[in-house]
Amino acid sequence: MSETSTTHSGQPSAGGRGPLRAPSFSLGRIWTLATSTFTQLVRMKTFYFLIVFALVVVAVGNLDLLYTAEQKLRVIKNTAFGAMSVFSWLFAIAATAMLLPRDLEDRTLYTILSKPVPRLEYLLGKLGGVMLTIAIALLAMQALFTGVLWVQEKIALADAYADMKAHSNFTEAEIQTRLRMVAEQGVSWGLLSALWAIFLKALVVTSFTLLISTFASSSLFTIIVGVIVFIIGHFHKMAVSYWSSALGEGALAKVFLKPVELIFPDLRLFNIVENIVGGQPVALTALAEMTGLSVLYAAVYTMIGLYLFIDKEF
Amino acid sequence: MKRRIRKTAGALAMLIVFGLVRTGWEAGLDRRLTETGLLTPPPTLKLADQIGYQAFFAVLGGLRPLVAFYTTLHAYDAWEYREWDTVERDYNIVNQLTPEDEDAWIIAAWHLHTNAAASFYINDALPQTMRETVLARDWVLKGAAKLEEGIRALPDSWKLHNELARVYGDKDKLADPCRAAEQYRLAMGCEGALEFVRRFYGYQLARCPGKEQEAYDYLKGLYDEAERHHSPSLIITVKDLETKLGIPPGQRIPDPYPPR
Amino acid sequence: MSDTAAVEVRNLTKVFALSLRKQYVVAVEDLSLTVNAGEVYGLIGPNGSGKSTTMKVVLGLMAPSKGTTKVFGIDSGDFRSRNAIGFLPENPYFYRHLTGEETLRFYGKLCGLRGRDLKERAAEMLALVDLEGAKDRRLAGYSKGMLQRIGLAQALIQRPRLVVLDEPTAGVDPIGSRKIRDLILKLKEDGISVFLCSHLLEQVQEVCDRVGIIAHGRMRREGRLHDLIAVEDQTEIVLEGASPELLARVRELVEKEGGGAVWRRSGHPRTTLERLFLDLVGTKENEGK
Repeated sequence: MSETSTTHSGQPSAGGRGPLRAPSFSLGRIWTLATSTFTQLVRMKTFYFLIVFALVVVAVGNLDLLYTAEQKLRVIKNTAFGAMSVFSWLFAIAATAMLLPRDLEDRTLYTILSKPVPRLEYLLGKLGGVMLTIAIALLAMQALFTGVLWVQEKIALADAYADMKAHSNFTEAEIQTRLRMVAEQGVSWGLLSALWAIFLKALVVTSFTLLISTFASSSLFTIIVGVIVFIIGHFHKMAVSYWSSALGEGALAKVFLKPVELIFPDLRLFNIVENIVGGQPVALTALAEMTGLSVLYAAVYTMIGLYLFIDKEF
Repeated sequence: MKRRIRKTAGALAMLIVFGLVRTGWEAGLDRRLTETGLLTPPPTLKLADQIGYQAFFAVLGGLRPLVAFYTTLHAYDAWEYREWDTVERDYNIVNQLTPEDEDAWIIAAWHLHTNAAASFYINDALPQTMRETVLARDWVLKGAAKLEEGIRALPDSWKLHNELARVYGDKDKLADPCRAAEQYRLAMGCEGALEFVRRFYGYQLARCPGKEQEAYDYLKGLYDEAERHHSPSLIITVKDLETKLGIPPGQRIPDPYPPR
Repeated sequence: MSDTAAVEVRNLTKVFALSLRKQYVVAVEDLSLTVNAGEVYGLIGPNGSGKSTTMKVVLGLMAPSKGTTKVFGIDSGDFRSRNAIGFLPENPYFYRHLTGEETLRFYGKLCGLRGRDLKERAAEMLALVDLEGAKDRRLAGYSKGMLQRIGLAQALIQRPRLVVLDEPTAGVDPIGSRKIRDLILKLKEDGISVFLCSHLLEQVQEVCDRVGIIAHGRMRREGRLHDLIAVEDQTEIVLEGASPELLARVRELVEKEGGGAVWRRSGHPRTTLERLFLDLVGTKENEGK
């Protein structure tokens, strides 16, 4: 088909050249939509969140409670990753919920879809834009917090060393063991796996929110349904085990809970973040498996979203 | 409208098929992640009653360490106001949420066996016998129980054994040198234990009735092993045991403070 | 190839279901129209007549219930048909966070323009719609007329062969309207087909080669503007500064010595298309249908 349109040069057009060919799938178009979404989100001043984040991390780093050096570092890590998680969820739901309904309301959608843009690419562009924004925000937060953690780690190591040296009867090996334990709670590559897990969860949350917004009538509806899915996604596994232990493997529990389990995503799996941050080593295979699962979620949700969106009339 | 219903049914069917495909995989992944310690099993509903549903959902959502941190701050506040019951309750939650946090067990126990106990001990408003024998001892026992619980969660923690040994060994607390020695012995067996634990084991053993000879042999061994063990406490304890056991003068260690 | 119609709508019917109880609204019924390559076609009709629905089907934003629509021979359902289309919606809103130039670059990229070509094309379009001075301002600060012009520029960014305009001068001041009218005429000069929806008849009359008049989802009349509004057996005399006495004498003359000629009306001249339009769609009886 595109052949036909390129050979149509019967009339001289304004620029003296014929219209362009439109490939049936174009990463370039998706990237254009994604970066435009990114610009939109950035210019909505979302990144001011980073200032709040920096203040929280620095404040927690200087909190003087009853901590050992390790505990202090752990608190900084937990607070930072907690804040990063919350940011990514809120952003994934709220920003995604806003995009489609707003494009529709402002009729910007007409102008985009009346260009040679397949609807799948439009959805992928929006998904990509939100994920790009989340990725950059997470990386910025990671950089900020790594800086704070690094400084606090150096302080903690120096303190621990001085403390042990003051008691002359510690061996060098003992001092090294202690310092290693402090350093274990400091800056490490493992923290990047935690960041990746947060990103993966945000990918799943963004894609189901986008799916909701393809049939939702407003942003508010999308946000409400999105939050409900988010909560149930964490809760249903527990509910299943609770019900089956309380009621036995009854038919009732099965009839009610099985569909819930099948329809809603299992978001609890992503809670690995807390233990990775706690210093639990994580195998690359586990990370790869989580990645595969998340990408599958995103792909399936986008496809179902496309199924609803493809013949939607405006 | 008809189209809408058809589409909704279609989308639901796709979700369910996807559910059938993934749930098996997810169950396996869940198990593997739990086995490798990456995933903490879901909390029980009882926790919801303790911490409130908001915090409970935060825990479910993967903010377990943050809820624990917040509860720690709350406990800190209660500590400043000497609300010991609140401190105890808060730390029960913290320990339940983050059983892997060794230091949280130690601090929780310390609040109970030292801070709360001492606070009752010196409270002039209470009758003396009651505050010394009943209340203070109660809180010391609570502290010891907290450490026992921590040890059940983290059996390989030398620090927890060490703390429990200190509570047993302290003559103002449980004054049970034999059990203190036992805890130090367990601490020594854990990875990463600092060397002082070995000496402390000896000191408590020396105070345990009937274990004097064993304690002497052990401490003498340490004395001979390296000069860094020649701490004043060790020397005094060994000298003490030499006298008690009637060790011949030729076999005794040199007296660092010979009588003039 | 060049005789392929820019837009070909054949027996288009679009039905909307209102509820589960089989209530339907027929927005467009058995409508056919053709926009030939290189011509300016005006689709006119009152609000709710099915203009916008027809346009949306042509753009692929809606699927027809029956019938077909093609753009340069490609079915409107195929996104590639949009390659040749530039569309300016009524009262357009674009991303308010983008500047004028960024907006053009955004739409240009969606159409596959890249690099220097894109840059030059964007500059060219900004010059065309006279917005060079405002290219670095965000659209949030644009006036209605400026938005309409940047909208026209984005519609033309990929050198489309067909431009679809929905009420292009709605809410635009007279000077702005004139600019847009001039642009349409320029497009025509360049051989670009224009498919225009409007209820501003004067505008349609000024620029369109052919018009279709649509009411209640049906095409009432279609043809060359000249043919539609010419009434063979009537003659129009337009006087300037005529006194009532003069008019009375002329009328008297017609009645006395007209030789069969009939005095139809007098008054301030109206556009002839408007008269035709009102004859076809404006009567109250029609609305009950």
